Amino acid sequence: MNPKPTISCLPIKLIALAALILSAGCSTVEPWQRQDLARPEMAWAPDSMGEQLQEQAYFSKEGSSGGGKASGGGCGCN
Amino acid sequence: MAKINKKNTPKKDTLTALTSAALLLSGANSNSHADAQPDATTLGYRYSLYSEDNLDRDLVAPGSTTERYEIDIHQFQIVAPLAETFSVKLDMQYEDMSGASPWQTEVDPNGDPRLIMSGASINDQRREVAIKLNRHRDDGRWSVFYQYSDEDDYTSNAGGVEFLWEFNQDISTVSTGFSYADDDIKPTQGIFPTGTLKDDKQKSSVYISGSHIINARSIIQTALSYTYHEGYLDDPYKYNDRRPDERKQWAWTANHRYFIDYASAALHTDYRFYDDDWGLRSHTLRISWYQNIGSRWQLVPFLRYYSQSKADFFGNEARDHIDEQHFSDDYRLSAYGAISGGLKINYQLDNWLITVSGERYHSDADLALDSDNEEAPGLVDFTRFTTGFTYRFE
Repeated sequence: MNPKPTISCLPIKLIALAALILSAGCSTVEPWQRQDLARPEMAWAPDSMGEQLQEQAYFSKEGSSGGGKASGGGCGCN
Repeated sequence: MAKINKKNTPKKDTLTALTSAALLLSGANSNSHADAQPDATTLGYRYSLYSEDNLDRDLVAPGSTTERYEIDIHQFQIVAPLAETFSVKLDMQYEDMSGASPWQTEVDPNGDPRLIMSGASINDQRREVAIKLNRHRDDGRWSVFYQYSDEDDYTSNAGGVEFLWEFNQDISTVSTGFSYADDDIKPTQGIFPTGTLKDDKQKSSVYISGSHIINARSIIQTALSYTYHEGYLDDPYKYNDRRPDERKQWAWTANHRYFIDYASAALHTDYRFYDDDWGLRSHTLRISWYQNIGSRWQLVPFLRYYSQSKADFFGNEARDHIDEQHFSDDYRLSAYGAISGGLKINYQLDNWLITVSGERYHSDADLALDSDNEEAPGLVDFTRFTTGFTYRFE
């Protein structure tokens, strides 16, 4: 028996997990309570240039890549 | 100070007016993660030095160089609001590369794998331009982008669209996007033969992402993406590299941001699970700590762990796979793990942000979650140093 999930059923499991996570928090946070969430260091990518450079290094030196956003083109990085 | 969204300006009723007043006092967006229109133009520059450790002499074949890559990188970025509802982001990057990369793995009489490197030195330059136009709306944003990259032996054109919707009083967002890339490969001819003289490959990618505010100091995001590659997917600078001509990749990401008020710090936790039809599966976990010190200084230490299984057709010894349709001895397709860590220091002085950072990356087969007996000798260790500034025009 191969315990590894097949490609075809993996997306369904991940979507179900994502839906579960998104539905987990149902509390209401009013706009005037969000000043901490609006701080620059709370952004998904506070330093886009730094993240871009790091992702490029990992992309060119590791076997896997991508995830979470639109991907750009490749490079001849070896 | 952050710009107030139009939707948060006084509207019809008293409650909304009070809400807006509170926001004006706090100087906060309702949700900075929704990418509101920037309220000022910023100009950024970064210089980075990327340097790979030389290989151990006993990992390379006699007469082969132990030298690896060193890259000087210059990055420029301009982010500017346009008209009432648009913004533009322009990124430019220039890289000057030199060094050598593994051309072939051979197994010596003792059964130990040894690398034959690509030559004494490769010199190449890469130029990249990327432009992204955003249209900001009360209930979200849409974006289009184009990216061009050019090297002596490689040209890439890529473009895409993204849409983001906010709902549930901006507590939740959903975004989706599609991108396409068309790459041309024309390997530089040298001492060693290349896998092709001229070829091309294409990449299509789609993702869906959602974020949700959990409480006043915590927000999560999750995304699922699918990428399809087709065309010439071999590495032309590796001998006996025979990869499939298509690849299907899945990635699931989960990110969390948490602000710790008493410490004036933000904790970032990012995880990615990756799987593809080459048999390669990986886990990536990254934790960063954004520590504010007074109003000017910020320290950002981070730690990242990465582990991948090997591709189905990876091997160190080509002769053992001579009859197989697909084979590669590329260390990037072997089973290994990597740990990297670093520190960034930010200093804010009026409209200037000065930044300095460093990172150390170490990879080893023993760090992999999925153990494998065939450790690739070409696994890389590198050091990166970055410095630069961002200036805000007001």
